[in-house]
Amino acid sequence: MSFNNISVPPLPIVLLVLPLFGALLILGLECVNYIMKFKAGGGRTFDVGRLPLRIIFFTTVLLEMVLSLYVWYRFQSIKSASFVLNYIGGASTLTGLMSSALRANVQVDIFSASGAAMASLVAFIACLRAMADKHRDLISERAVFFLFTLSGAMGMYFAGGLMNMFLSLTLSQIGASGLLQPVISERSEFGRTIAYFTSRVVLLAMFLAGCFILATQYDVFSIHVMAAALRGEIAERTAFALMAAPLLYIFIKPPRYTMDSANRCYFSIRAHAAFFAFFRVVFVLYGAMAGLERIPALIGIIGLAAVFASILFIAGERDPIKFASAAETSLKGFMLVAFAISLNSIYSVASVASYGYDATEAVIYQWLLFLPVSAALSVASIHLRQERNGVKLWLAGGMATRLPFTGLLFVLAICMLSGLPPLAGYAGRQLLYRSANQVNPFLSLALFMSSLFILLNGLRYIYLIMFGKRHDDARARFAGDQLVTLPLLVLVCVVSAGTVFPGLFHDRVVQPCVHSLLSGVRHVGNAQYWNDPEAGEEEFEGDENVQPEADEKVQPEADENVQPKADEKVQPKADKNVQPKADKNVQPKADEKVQSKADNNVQPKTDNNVQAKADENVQPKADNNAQSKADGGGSI
Amino acid sequence: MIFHLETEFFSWNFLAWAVNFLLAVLSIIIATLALKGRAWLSVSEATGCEGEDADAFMSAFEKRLRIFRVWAVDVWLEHSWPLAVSPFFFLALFLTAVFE
Repeated sequence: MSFNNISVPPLPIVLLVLPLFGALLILGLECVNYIMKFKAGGGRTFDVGRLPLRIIFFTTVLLEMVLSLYVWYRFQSIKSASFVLNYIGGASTLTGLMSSALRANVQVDIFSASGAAMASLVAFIACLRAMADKHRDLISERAVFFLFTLSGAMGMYFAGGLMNMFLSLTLSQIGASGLLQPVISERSEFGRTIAYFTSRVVLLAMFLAGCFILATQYDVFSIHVMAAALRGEIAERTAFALMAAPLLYIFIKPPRYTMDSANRCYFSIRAHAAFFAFFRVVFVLYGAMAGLERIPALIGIIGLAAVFASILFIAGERDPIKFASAAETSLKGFMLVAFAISLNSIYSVASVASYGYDATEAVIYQWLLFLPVSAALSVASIHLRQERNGVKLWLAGGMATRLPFTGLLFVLAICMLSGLPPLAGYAGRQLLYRSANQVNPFLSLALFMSSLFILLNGLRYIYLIMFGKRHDDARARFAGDQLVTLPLLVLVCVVSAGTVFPGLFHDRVVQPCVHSLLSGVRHVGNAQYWNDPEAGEEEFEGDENVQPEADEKVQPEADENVQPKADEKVQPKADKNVQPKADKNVQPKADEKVQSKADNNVQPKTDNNVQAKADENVQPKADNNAQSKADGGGSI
Repeated sequence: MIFHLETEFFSWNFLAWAVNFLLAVLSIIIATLALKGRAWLSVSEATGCEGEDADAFMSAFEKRLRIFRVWAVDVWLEHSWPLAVSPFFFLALFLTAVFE
């Protein structure tokens, strides 16, 4: 039997299903266990058994990590946008409708593959941390909710349709809520958590409402199909608000105060995936749509507010968990500001060229950095928050000699977060300053000063805890430091090593993501022309440098030579034969012929520079609406 | 602007690297000075008050700051009623930006 005949589902599908399968397996074992004990009269107890539970959980997360890294590696090497449908993906064994359904519902590119790989790495480290935690044993409930969260996050990375994204969001929410509040056994607990659950239900309902508004308009859920069809009408913009608001909320909202580092790592994975989904909806689905011009400003303001709030919260903070949470919020704020600048740039081709690429690269750098930094801060801060031998580590001081690995991890995380060279955060922050400077120098200055404040406070905090005066028995030693932090320290060092070969990291990871994103954005620079052709002309005429040249040399000849021919030959034919049937079919043909004739006539008489400028500027004027409808707008 | 160096970072330009590194060192020096500054600048110098008045001022200020921080953090993080309506706040922001 050849390997080709084995029916293997595509790897991204396996990545979604595997954690879900692991969770269901644990639940199944629980049920069997329950039934057996109930029959034996042993009463109602839930206990899969320590070893089987750990084996299932560990194997699932390990496989998930290996497969996601493989997807990422293979996708890099084959450089195909249809990975899921090729031999490697295994979808070649699937035929007919199934294949079409996959194409519509699974979207794999280097951006999603990178996110999934990073998430699975952190999930594996969190899994190790959860199994090694002596203060909180790994029970089946927790393992199931971990796997639900991971599966939901993977679904968000690879979802090609809005309904898939909603289902993944729901699954990850079930997992995250379960990790926070596994079982409500008392009425007082219900009262205490009702606000939390209400907010979560509201968020999911909002997203679902947005999906349904778009689905009723277009009868399709695929993001890329919709992206070509959206026109910026009122219902579509309402759907945008309904989908973007919950995703941004899930991303920016810090997790509740918890003493479990594995939980916090999984919350971070969820926030990471939510930002990815936010990217997909705002950047890819809607892009530079007319009516959404204020969205970049809104996102930028929220990002700046997050940065300033984090400075306020971080100043003078002694609790390591609150400190880590505030530091993480600052990174989220910087990501949002970079995202806002990037989104702002796609409203004009000139802006994309000027600062759009820099800003998008800044977002990708910080997005890739977010998970390792967040996980490092979570693990280190919660380790410091604990008590050993009756000593509160975070208040004892002088931890540098007693918890050197934790201290090093904390220092690296803070330096990466602050964009300190030569660590991994430097490139992203540098690109952010550059692009922000193109938008407004004061924005760049504010971001730099904020970054500096966070660095100052971070160093002050590290100094107090690591090198401050000891308040306990100096001879006390704490074991297990390296066990807690070593895996993360390795990950952080690997990520930081990317800066040793910046070109390699940039070319193999960041740039493909940016290319994938920007080439997927519809209607770059065409927002003005969608509903208001006059606005397009105003923009066109406003270009002082290029316009006169194009007008003088190209436009008159195009008008003279082409327009009469179009009127004489094409239009009457269309009127006689096809007009009664449908305008849609004939009109683009007429345009194509006219356009090709225009090109034929004009091209030989103009030099290269003028032609390029003429193409850029004349195109919208000649065919504003038809062009955007036929091509789905311009792409860079 | 010092950050608008027209250099190519990915060619590993040492000038850009050195400038940023110097800024980082400078920030560490400023941080150290700021920490020391609390001791150098006494409460009475900062407020113009003497003795118990100065202590009272600082404690009241710190108390207010702490109350604000606790309120801001707890309302946002913990399970109180504003959390339940905060998604609507985000939605309102987006709807305002879209339809204004």
